[in-house]
Parts: sequence; C-alpha cells; structure tokens
Amino acid sequence: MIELLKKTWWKYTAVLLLVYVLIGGLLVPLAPGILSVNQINIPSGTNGQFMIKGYNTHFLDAKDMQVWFKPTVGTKFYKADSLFPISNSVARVVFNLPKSNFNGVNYEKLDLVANDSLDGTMTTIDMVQVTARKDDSAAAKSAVTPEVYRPKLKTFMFPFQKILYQTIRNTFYHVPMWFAMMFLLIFSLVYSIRYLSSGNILDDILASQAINTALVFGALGLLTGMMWANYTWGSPWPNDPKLNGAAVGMIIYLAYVVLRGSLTDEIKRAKISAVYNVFAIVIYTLFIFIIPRLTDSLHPGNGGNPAFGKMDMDNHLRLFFYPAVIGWTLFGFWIMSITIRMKLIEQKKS
Amino acid sequence: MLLRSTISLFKKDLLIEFRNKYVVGGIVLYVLSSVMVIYFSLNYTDSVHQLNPVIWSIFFWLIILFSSINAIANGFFREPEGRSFYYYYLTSPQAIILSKLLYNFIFTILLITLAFTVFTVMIGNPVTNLPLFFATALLGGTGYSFLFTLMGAIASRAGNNATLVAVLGFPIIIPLLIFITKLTAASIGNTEMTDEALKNMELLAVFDIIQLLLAYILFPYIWRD
Repeated sequence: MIELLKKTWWKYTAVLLLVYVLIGGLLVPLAPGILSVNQINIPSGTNGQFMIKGYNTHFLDAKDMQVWFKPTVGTKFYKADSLFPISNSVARVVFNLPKSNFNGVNYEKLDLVANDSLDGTMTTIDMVQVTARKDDSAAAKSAVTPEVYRPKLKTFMFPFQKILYQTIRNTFYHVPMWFAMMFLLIFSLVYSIRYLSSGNILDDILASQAINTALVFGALGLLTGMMWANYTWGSPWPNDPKLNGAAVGMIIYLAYVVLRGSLTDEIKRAKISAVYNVFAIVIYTLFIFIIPRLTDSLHPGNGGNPAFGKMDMDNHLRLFFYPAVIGWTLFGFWIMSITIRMKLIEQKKS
Repeated sequence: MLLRSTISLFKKDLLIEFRNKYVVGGIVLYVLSSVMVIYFSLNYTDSVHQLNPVIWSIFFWLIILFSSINAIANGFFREPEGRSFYYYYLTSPQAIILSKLLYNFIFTILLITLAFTVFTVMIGNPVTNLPLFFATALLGGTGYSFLFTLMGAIASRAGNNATLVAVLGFPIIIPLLIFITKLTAASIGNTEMTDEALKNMELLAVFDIIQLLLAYILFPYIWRD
C-alpha cells in the first residue's frame, strides 16, 4: 500500500479532475426558472394582478410566453386571463379564479407553469394561494389543455431549484468532502483491523494518519455545509439530525486523537486506538446514516425527503458531480500519503 | 464454561462490594448531594413546586450521567496491577468483560431507582406515563453502563485517567441522550405509547445491543497485554 501511495499518476488525475470541476462548476449557467411572485394571496373572483419574476428567462424576447395555474392536486390547468411581459425577467399576469372552482375548500393552492419558446417549461409548486370570498358567485372557470412549446435547449445548464438557486453548485464541494471523509474512514477501519490481527506498526501509522486527514475533510464538510445552510435554510446551524450526527462524529474522532495523545507506549497506543477506531466507526455509521433517515430532517434523502430525485441531480450535474467525488477523494488520499510518509521518516530517525 | 466464569467473577465483584461498599456509597453520596443542591436552590427562589418538567428531566439525566461515570470509572481503576495478571491466567477476557458489564448494569439500575425515588420525594415527579418512563430508564441505563464500561476498560489501560473516560464517552453518549430525553418528554407529556416513542425505544435497544456486541468482540484485544 505504501508503494501505491508513492505513485504520482493518481495525484495528477486528482488535480485534473478538480480543475475541471472548479472551472465547469463555476461557468455553467443555471437553467431558467421562476424566482418569485409578488402577491401570493388573492381573494377569489377578483382580477388578481401580480408580477412574476424569472431568473435567466427571456419573457420579452420570446414573444410567445404563456402562463397557466394548476391546483396542486389534480391535472386541471387554468390559463391566465392576460399576460404582459415587461422585461426579460418580469411579467405582469392577471388571473381570476372564482370560488365555484374550489371543491368545497376555503382556499386553493396553485402551482405556476410558465412556458415560452426560448426557455421551455418552468414550473414552480405552491406559488399562489386563492382564498374563497363569501360573496363570490361568479361562474366556474373552465380548464384547458396546455400546449407547450418544447424547444431543444442547446445550452448545457444546471437545474433551477427553489430554495437552492445558484447554491446548487455547492454540491461539488460539500458532498464530495463527506464522501472523501467516508472513504478515508473506511481505509482507517481496514488498517485498524489489519493491525489487530497482524501487529505490524505500519498498519497503525496508516490508520491514524487516515483519521487525521479525515478530520480535516470533516471540518471542511461542516464549514461548506454551514455556509450552504446559511443561504438556503436560514441559519448556519438549523436543528437537523444529520448535522448533529456529523458534529458528534467529529467529536468522536477528536476523542480518538486525544486517546492517542495520552498513551506513550507505542504498541499499547496502537492496540487501544485500533480498538476504539473500530467501535467509533460502527457508532459513526449509525449516527450519520441510519438515524437521520428515521427522523425528520432537512437534508435531501432523509426524513421523508426524496434522495437526489430527478430534480435535484440531473445528468448535467452528474457530469461534474462524479468527477468531483473522485477528485476530492484522491486529493484526500494524496494529503494522507504525505502525512504517512512524514511519519515514516520520523520513525526511521528515532 | 463462559457462563460459569462470568457468574463467578460477578459474584466476586459483588462480594468485594458488600465488604467495603465503595460503589454504593459513592452513588448514594453523589445522588443525595446533587438533589440537595437542586432542592436548596429551588427552595430559596420559591420555585420548588413550579419546576418545569423539562428542567426536571435535564437534572435527572445529568445526575445519572455524572454518577454513573464516577461509579464505573472508579470500579475499573480500583483493580491493583498484579491482579489483572492473575485473571489473565484464570479466565477468558470475554468472561471478564461480561461480568463487568453485568455488574455495572446492576449498579446503574440501582442508581436510577435511587435517583428517581429521591427526586420524587424531594422535588416532585412530573411523569404521567410511568411504564414508558421505566422502560426508557431501563434502556437508557443499559446504554450508559455498557458504554462507560467499555470506555473505562480502555482508559484503565491508558494509565487510569478518569478524564479520558469522559472524553471518550461523551461524544457517543450525546445521541443516546437525545433519544432518552425525547422519550422522557413523551412520558411526561402524554399517557399513551405513541408510534414514535416505540420507534425511539427500538433505536435505543438496537444501540444497546450493538454496544454489547462491540464490547464483547473488542475487549480481548485491549486485555492482551
């Protein structure tokens, strides 16, 4: 293994992959989408007027913009009464939904679907709410079948997601950091178990340096996650079980470092820290993966949120995401190999 | 063979305990003094009867945490050096760890019972769903005792450093505490077993079983010295 760690081909690969991810991740534009609506609560039976704001859209240039509203449950589309694109990203819409369209409920939540030939179809869920007015006796509005323009969007774009918007690019940094940490921890587990059965002190050096590097990547993962959470979930540390599990995991491995520091006899240190490492990895896996899935969590893939669904991770993102995971993992192993070689030199000297 | 060695080691530890009562004395002292501090602070600010159930739960589990660390860590450190050598020749390490786990488990349950009684008598008891609370206390106490037994075993090899037991054990006890406090809150709040309470209890039970297995598998490696 030490011979493999000294080779350089995989280190060059890591650099190339990371440069590719850095440049591509920052340069690829975001797909067009609807950003916001300025009035979200309309009484029924009135000519509700509001402005739609889009992102990266071409409302004016396309000249054939259409807007439909759709109740969240069901497949009825109601066309907007009139539509005035004011600029490429702002349009004025007039929409009137009488109470007779509601099926016995007091309000109706509507999704917004916009379409034009330059941007394709943009959908946002739960954009507008129409509340029933008691004195609304207007006749029901009829549903239409939307005919959408499906342009062949020639440009390569990242998906537009509500809440995330441009921060979706952080997927290339935050998630691969945790992957790299997991791979380093698996490496240390393998070598800890190897040490317990063989007694070769080199295995212990490999395991301990892997954990030291994993701690660094874990800290980076937490920092990128806090930065991301600050912009999307409102605060750098919202109450999320996966975050708490990650923090506890970091503390468990810091305790490992403390344990190693408190033992002076080399062989005893190696043996006891190997035992603690095996214990810690089982507990860590339990906390990071299993517990968040069972409780409510803000993270995608846990607590009832669909994991990396069609909208979160489409093929455009994947083209950068997989190289990012591989690149950051190899980079982590590179850093680990340097620390291991430093430790080996120290050992030879003493 | 394993069962017999485990039982005889356990009986030996119990006998030592009956003779000098260090562990029981320590537990009783810890619990009583902590409850006294709490009671007097509440008394002199006139809030004994308005004790918030959440605060009650926090006090209860914190006192259990610190008492059990104390009791279990000292239990390991009291073994003189030469005696470990003697055990090494007599019995398998599995028997040793099983007997220690059983011993610490019994004492943690004793501790919880004592603490609950003293709390109820002195500062009241907001628990409405007693079966749920006792089940939580059982599972949580098991978790505490198993974890700190293994950490005490590790620390006793690292020079009898009591701080080390806390440093190693606290990160792992935190998620356990999350479940325990959730379940305690449920037992204070409502009188029926909800699905979520059952789910949390299953998780606690799984956690305890995993700790038991890991301690059983890993202790022989620590012991071989």
